Amino acid sequence: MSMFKRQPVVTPIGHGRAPVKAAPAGQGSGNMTAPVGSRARFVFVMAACSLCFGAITLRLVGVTALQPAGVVKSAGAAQKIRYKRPDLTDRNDIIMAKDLNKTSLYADSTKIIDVDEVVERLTAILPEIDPRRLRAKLAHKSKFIWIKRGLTPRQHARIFQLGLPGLEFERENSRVYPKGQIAAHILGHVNVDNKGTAGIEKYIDTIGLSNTDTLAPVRLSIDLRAQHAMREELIAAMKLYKAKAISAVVLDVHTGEVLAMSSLPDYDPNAPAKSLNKNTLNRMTAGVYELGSVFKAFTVAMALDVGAATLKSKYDARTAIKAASFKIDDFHAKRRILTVPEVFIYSSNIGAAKIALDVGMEQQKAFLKRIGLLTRLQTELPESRQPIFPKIWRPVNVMTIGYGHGLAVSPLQAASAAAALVNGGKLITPTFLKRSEAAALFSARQVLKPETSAKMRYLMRLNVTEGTARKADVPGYLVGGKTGTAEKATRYGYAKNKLLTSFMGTFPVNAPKYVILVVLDEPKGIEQTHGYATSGWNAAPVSAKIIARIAPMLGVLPVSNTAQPSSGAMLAAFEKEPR
Amino acid sequence: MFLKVVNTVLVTATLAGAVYLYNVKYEVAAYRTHLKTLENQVVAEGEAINDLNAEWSYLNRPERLKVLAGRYLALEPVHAEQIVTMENLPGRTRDFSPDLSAPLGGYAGIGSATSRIQ
Repeated sequence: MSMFKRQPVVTPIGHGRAPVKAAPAGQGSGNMTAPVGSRARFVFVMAACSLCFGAITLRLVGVTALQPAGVVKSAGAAQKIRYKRPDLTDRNDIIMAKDLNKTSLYADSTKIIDVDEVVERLTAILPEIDPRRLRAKLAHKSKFIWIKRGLTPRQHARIFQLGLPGLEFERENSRVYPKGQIAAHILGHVNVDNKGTAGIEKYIDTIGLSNTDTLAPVRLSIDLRAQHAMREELIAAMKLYKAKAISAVVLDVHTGEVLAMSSLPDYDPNAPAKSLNKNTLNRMTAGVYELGSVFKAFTVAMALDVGAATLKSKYDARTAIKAASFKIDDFHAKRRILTVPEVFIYSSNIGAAKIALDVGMEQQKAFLKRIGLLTRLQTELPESRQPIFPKIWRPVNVMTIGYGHGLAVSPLQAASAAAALVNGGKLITPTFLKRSEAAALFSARQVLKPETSAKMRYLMRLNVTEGTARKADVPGYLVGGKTGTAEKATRYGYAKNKLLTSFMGTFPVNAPKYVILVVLDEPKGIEQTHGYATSGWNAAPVSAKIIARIAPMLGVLPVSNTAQPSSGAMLAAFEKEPR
Repeated sequence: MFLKVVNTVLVTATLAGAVYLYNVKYEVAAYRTHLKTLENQVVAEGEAINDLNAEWSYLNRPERLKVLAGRYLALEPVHAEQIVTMENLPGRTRDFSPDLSAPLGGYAGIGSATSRIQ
């Protein structure tokens, strides 16, 4: 126990520095009577020691307490590459897009010892890589060079086993669309960095729903079952009528939600390269078309709403109108005086032109603007297009626009205006996200009188029971609607044999819930249609098939055929209770 | 002597403390490793769940379900005439509710008569 014993300290006085230097360090601590010189030295040594230990302590704190931040910082670079995205689901929470983890390979060429060996071994495992380009890439000294994004687990294991320095793996998010092509144009797609480049994917990036810590699934308005059923019918119809393209949309008239929307040909968002093809454009929102006779519904609604005509007004459709350099004539010419319902159900161009003239240029412009047909329709989808209309609105334009020529709008825009026509006159901006009726009403604008809407429902039903849209009827579901056959505008004027046929309808017409718009691009006359290629022979029956399949899915209660009201009784009912 | 005892106690305590600290430190390290393993497992499980959800969604593609339904089920799309509401059902042709005021006939009536006699 000698080390605990206090040693008597011999304090040499006046011996200068030497004895202190000789004294053992352990014994110097208790020395309070050291000479001034040695005291200074003692302070100096203590200060030096404190400095050293202080530095070590600081470093220790730095290493232990601040290291996590350093780790995060180094991961931050990788974080930029991995763009996290929320799931996209349909309105019933069925997953339509999801992030999956994949392993990607990159090289740190500063750590590579033998570039040739790396290139040789890698190309043996990844034959799709061009060795010359890889060698050129690796010759460039960089800490981060992508070699291959998205390895299969087997490739990953084999490259890992090579054990070559400088080859590193990175876990990345990659987007998958398990349902394939079904809703390609709505979902959009992402680029190689997992950033949205089209559709809803792009939208959620712009509003900051992606790459956050809490990724809540984004619920779309789409009903996957209806979307699938509709797309299947469209594929069949495109083949049957040998159409160049076909597109359709089903819209909830009270909430503005898009239940189903498809534009064929489409592409697989899992392999979005095909989306660059011009033919796969989303015709519903990114294309504008002169829709033709379906516009007569807007013309008639306009005339009824502003009071320029009533259902009993008569228009002379005996002779074609000669205006400027061309002639307005009827396709289903009756050559007699027609009432407004007759103009509607026989789709009289002459009648519609005269109705539009009665309303007048200014009122027509104001009305079209009010129902949103003169401005670009902005929905969540970034793909949209400005309507095309004449800069200078002449009387001849009033007439042609009255029957749907000379004003090109996107079909979704027309569908949303059609919803206003039948839902009691409220214009609701369509949405691709799930929305409640209350939220929709918040942004809704009353653009028509409810009475006008009731009359339009009557006319649309009349057109299906007695007019051009008879093939659109589905027993039990009370379809109402308007057909349209437009000649496509080409460089040399309107082409007689290139048609754009459409059907714009609603069901059930007594209390509309949904609006449907089907557009066929250049359908051909076939044997089953006796060579006709007009809307009543293709767009109308396709709509009927779609409605027959989706109405039960959407919970539309059918009306038994015996209880189905006649058109006359319906009109009476509408006039009693306008809604 | 007293100092000696104190010193012995202190040294022992220091040694015991050191041993204890050593053990605790290693225990903590072991727990930390275990925790890390569990955390990695949780992440791996989460990823597996995510993958399986995607797989489930993929397997439930409408076009695949259609093929499967065609193969295993004898079901067809529902038609409007198959859906009937309560008010569209025909009314009952006969009233089946018991008439309590009517006298019981037959043996039942006799039974009630005899019980009344007693």
